[in-house]
Amino acid sequence: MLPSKKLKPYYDKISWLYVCRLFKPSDARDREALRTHERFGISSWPQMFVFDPATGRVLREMPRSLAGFKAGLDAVLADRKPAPPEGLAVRARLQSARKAIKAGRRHKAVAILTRLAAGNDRFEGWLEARELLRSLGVRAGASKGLGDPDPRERALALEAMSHRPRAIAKARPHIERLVLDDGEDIVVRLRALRCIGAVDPGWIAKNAASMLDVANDPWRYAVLEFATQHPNPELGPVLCKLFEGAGTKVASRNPNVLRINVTLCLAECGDVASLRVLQPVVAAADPRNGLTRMTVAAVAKIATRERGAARDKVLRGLLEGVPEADDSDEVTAARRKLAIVRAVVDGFAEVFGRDRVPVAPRTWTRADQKRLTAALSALLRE
Amino acid sequence: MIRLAIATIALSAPLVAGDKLPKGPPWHTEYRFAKREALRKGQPVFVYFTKTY
Repeated sequence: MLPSKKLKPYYDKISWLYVCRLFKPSDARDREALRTHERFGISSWPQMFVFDPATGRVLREMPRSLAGFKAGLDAVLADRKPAPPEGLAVRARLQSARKAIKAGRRHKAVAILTRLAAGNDRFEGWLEARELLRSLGVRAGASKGLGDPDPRERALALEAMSHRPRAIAKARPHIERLVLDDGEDIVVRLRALRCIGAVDPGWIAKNAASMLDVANDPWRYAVLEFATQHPNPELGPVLCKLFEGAGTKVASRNPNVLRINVTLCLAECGDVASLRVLQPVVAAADPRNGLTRMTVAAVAKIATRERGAARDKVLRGLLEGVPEADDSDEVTAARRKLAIVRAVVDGFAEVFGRDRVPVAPRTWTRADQKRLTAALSALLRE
Repeated sequence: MIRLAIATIALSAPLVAGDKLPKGPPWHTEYRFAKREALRKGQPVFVYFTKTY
């Protein structure tokens, strides 16, 4: 669709951005692509939308059909205003500077760029001027690291120190402020979060409840990862809200992966109250849902932490995760069900000890289901 | 001077060789360049996210 000649009339009406992940951290282009992915919270592909360059707000998700795509562009462009004269002036000044550089007129270029860099125009001419000055080796363009006015420079500074614990420790108060500052650029915040996580993940776990309010999937994945490493039982209710609302009340571009990360964290931080959100997934015992086995494992983990009646309640919930056997199941379906069965059996084994729990069957027939359910129920009655 | 010219081109180039860009539109491959062009021309930005499969 994108190469269609029918899109030609739109070439100069919008800016076109192509962002491809290569998954090669050593590749500068891939690191840049990662920054853009994280800015917009992208963790699944492909995705296409139109955004407002001034605010980053998504204006329209774009369909994959040509007719729908054109209609989407038309809708976005319907109230387009003429190019702002100040923006065109900034563009012209940068062009003059480039021409001067090309012609070897360094002084002229530096003069234009220094004036531009000293301003704070809303067209980011000042940022581009600083970049050009930097490439010319002029001090006015030098990066100020964590204190740089350009969020990209702050992000680069954090990336550079991410594997240097001493540097992180030295700048720790500043980095903590970046993590907690709601007004800070999300790409900067995420890098600051990873720096702190590298030296003190417990700090993130302690502050995770408010951090999980940030509507950005990669950010939430990172917070959840650290909170999973350093379980904080107080997070249970927040995690339940995320699980329930993912993709609806909780904005997410990838609700399923968000739920997976929340489930892993609930396995470590949750308690009997977490059953409210986990139990429906366990009880559905849907072998085609990738979340089922993980949720069963999370409930099993919670059972190991609970005692008395609460533990029994969790185990009864776990027992509901035994999938319905169907003797006419295809091999794949039976294999998926057996994986869930093993997760249930493992959960019981964690609580009662491996020697008291029957071995998970190798086949999954109605007879297998009846035998296993009876054996696990008997343990609950003891 | 050559280094300066290369740096200048790198900063202003709308396309970077290497990725298999879909033919047709004048693609940028960096957020900041697409954003700046859009701000100065008063345009929105269309973005296409993909990955190597």
